[in-house]
Amino acid sequence: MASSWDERKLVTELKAGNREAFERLLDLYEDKVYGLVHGMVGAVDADDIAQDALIEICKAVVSFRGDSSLATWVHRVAVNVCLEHRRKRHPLFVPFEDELAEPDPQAGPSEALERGEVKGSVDAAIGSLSDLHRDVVILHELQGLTYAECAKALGCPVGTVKSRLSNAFVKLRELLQSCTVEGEVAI
Amino acid sequence: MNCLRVSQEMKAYIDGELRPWTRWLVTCHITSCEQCRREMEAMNELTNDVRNVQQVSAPDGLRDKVLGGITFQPVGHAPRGSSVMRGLGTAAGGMVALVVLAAIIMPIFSRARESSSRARYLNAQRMEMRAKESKSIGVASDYDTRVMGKVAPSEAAAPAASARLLIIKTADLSVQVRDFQQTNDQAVSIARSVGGYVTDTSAESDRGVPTSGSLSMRVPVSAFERTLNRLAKLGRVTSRSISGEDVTGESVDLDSRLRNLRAEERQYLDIMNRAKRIPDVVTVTNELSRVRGEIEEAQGRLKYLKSAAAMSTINLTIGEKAKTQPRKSSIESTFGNAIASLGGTLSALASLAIWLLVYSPFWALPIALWLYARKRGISTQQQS
Repeated sequence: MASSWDERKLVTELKAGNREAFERLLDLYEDKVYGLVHGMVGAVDADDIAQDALIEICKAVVSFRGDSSLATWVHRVAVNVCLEHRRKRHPLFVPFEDELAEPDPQAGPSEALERGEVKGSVDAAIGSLSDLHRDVVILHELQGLTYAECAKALGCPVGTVKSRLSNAFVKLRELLQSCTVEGEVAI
Repeated sequence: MNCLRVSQEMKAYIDGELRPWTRWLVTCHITSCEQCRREMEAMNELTNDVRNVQQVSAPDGLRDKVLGGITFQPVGHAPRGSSVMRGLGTAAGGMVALVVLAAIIMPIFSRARESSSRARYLNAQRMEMRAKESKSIGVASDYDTRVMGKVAPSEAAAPAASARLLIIKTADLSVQVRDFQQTNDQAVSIARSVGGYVTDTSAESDRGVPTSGSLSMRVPVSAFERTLNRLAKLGRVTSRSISGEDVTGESVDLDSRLRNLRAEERQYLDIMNRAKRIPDVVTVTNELSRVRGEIEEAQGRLKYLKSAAAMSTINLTIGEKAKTQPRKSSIESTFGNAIASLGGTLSALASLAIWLLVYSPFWALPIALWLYARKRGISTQQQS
């Protein structure tokens, strides 16, 4: 039954305070919001901030005017909660404590390029990006938002999203290359 | 289009976010430039790797915590209507709550005064039953508890009159400047001069020299326009947008919620003073800590809204104008540049020829027809 609800009906039901509608909203966005928050504030605070973000989304949905899609709005609210958390914690705090995954000196070059390790190092490299770069990579590549939707969610112009993403990928490539080079040296 | 520009547009090209004309220019370039083609393939591969990163899933129990943190409308309760209707609803709810509260609490108090231990036991049982009831009913009882906390309907309707307009203003400004570092310093001093402060800064450098970056600042709302205008004068403005979020409604809601919660707290304190048995004290203590937690949460949010509305946010993006590279004077480099330019021109011409050939049905046929018609016209004139 719930799967046949379209967005407009869902929003109407949410505004009416229907519990089933909130469950449907969580079906749709719980994992996405958690993934976004996990990326933006780090694993340590992810549970608490994701909870805050989802409660904020559920509470603020009454003020959703339909200017953008529900998905974009949900991301925007979640991004704002994460940014607020960052501001409260420390203005210039880098949330990821993980260092770039060091390649295992025991493993040979072919093993080091196994898919799993590439994924792991890509993940670590994303974690090593600056906040601004990481936010846009998470929103566009992992959450699947378009440039325009990212711009709305982050509250910045589309051109900024484009340049940040481009720069982020240049950084990512540098990080991954340096990781590989270090791995080779270690071997 | 040169290699530098192509490298800037590469990511957007892969994401399909370029305009058709720019996309065509990039396509033309990468068909002729081996190095850029390789870069593009590497970028494409990296994009796929990033998209294949395992996404984390929400932990078990998050859903229940979220649903537990929301107040739902009880079954059959109409959705939020106009403020007048809401006001009437709240007033009526408050009246009913008052009567119910009096009916339940007064006997407890009166019997609590009695010295009979049997009476105390019965009262404790009733309190415990109510506590259990409120937990098991869940959705509806949460609403009831809030209504129960409301003392006087007039008090609940009061904040609407004293509402002050609260708007959170945010501006995004992008400027292009000659010297990034100097402009960045100027922007920071502008923020300080109007009583604001910088919250976030970031800079991207090229060969160790910062060339672009962004900074977020919070400035008093009274100085918002003035600051924005001063910042706009720092360089050539490439984009400027201002947005405002009206949070007056939320602040009014929070005000009234806070008032109700404080009333509830006072009532529990009163009950606490009269409670004599340990189970009663424990029950009331639990309720008190819940109410105080909610009060703190509402106060925090209200404080945030007020401070956010008092200080506006300006996100400034500063980009340095591309500096022209000093020309190499050596004959070799000139010769090399000329050859590269010739290669580029030839490849562009070749691309153009291919496009013209592919689109020939659209232009060759009309021209052939026109020539044929012209020829026939001339021959007819000669005959006549």
